[in-house]
Amino acid sequence: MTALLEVDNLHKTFATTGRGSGIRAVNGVSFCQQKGETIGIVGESGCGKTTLARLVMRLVEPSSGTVRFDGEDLYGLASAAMRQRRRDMQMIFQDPYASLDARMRVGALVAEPLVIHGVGDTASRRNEVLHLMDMVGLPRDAVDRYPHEFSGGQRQRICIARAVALRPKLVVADEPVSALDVSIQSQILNLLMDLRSELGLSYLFISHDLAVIKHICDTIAVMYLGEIVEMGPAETLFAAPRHPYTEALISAIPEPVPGRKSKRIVLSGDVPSPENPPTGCPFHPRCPRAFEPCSAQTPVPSVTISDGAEHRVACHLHS
Amino acid sequence: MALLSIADLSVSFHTEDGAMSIVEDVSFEVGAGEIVGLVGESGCGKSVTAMSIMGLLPSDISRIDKGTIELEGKSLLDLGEAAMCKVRGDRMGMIFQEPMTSLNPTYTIGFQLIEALRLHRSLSSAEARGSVIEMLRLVGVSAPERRVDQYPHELSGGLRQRVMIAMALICRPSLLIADEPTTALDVTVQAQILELLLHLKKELGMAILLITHDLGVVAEFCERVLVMYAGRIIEQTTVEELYARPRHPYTLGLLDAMPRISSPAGKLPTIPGIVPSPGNRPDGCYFVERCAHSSARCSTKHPPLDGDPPHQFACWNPVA
Repeated sequence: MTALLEVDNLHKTFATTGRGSGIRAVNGVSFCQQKGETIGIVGESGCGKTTLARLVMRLVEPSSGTVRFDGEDLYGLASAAMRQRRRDMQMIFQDPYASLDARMRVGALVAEPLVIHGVGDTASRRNEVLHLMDMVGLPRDAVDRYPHEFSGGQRQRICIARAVALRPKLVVADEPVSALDVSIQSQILNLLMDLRSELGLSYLFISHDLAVIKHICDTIAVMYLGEIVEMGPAETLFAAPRHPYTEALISAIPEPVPGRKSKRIVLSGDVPSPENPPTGCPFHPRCPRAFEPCSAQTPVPSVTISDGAEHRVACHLHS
Repeated sequence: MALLSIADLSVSFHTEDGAMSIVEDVSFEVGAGEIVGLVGESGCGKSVTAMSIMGLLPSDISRIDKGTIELEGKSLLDLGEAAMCKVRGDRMGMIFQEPMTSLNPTYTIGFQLIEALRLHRSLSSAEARGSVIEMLRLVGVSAPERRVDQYPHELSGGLRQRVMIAMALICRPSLLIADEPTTALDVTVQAQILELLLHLKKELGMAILLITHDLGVVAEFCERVLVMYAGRIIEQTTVEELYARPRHPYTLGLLDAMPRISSPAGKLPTIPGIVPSPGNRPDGCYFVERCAHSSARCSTKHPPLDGDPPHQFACWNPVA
């Protein structure tokens, strides 16, 4: 395997009006994604996961750090070259009601990426659109209809057809099933898994839902206040979480098993504001196992190898 | 006698496109101090059922076609608006999904809580302020003497939901209706709020009707559960029984389709198709088009909610 995506020490601070040093959304994130690998980024609101997705797509510019895609430094590309590169990297968004132009027919929506990148002629594009509709499980007669005629799940299928139209190498999916009901969510997750094997896609899959992430991802990165606090193979991370935050996050998920609640770790307080992050470990004010060094020093990530895969944790308990 | 008792409730909406039946023949009871879950997917009628109980349906487009709603033996549908105002907020309180839009941004939380209290109790403003601070402390707001003078925007999502809970409970109602109270919150904050509701239930002894789409929340929180699909209750039983032996194919499908921490990776079982919209519900059982167990009778005749209590289900071919 060769690396598809290499993210190195990425920072993003958004400027705020007035005093203060701005909002530290992403703070020193590094990871490496292999071809064909699905990486899940999980974390709560405001942890910086969406900003990270947008940095990877270069939809926002970083404060510092690099992203290499297929060996090429993305932030070094001129805008025309960047546009070319985006053929290989596509995005699916959370809200299928807001991400489709209400005045375009489904056929035109699905054909749009092909038109923008000058793929084929009108006739071949029409065939390709029908092929894509079959692939994502939309009826062929949908081409002449408008987005408002479809349910949330079907609209998400339209968005997925657009995302895979150019046969990208990487698909960044930002909460693609969060707005959907349970019975529809499983249909879309299955579709994403089918397309992954059919088209050889790699996903960077962003979600706040650990159960969803565990289901679809090979590797999971847990973010807290702009930092990856733990990253490792999905199975290992769930079986033996090493960071107290990961542990609390896993235990907080309500499982449909009556009588399980006794094991839950309930964290006190809220996530601190990224405008005014705590010193030392970002998690220390809420951590049930914090001790002296946690508030003073930022923990250095320590890496262990389990089953041939890297498991990284940034916590003083493990340094 | 049950605390809340609903019988044969049917609600329809009347729009330019004509009449649409939203909730059909819903009957259930909530006992004093009981926690009952009402689960279902978007558009199944669970919120409309809650709004009917609270008397908060939009009067211009909605109509209660038939049925009765009784709280503590009093028929709510026969009350005029003035009498209903006395019951609402006093004997029953409600919390909503979005704590930000449910609070008035231009008043302090103290003002809003005191308003809710003095509407139902004749207290001086000093007494009311004292009760409000005590209530805020009870719902786990730290430094309530200071928080009481803050505005909603100064609070985090979790704190706002605590304030909403304080407001709903300020008059110590016997019934709390919680409509997706943790859906907008992060999972660690959700855990805090659910723990709080359980604690308050023990402390104040009220019953809770919890409306949610999350079967995980129901399993950990409720004693009894009602499953709604396309405007009807299709299964009801105790929580243990529902998860151990679901009888309606929809309930089974919903439980199977949920990704779980404990389940292996790979393909998830799905329920094919989508929920029929209110104007397009099929003849017979509303689940017939998506059901793997359907037979000829299913598409002609509505299955009644049947079976020995506490486990009842509306299905001609129940799961064994």
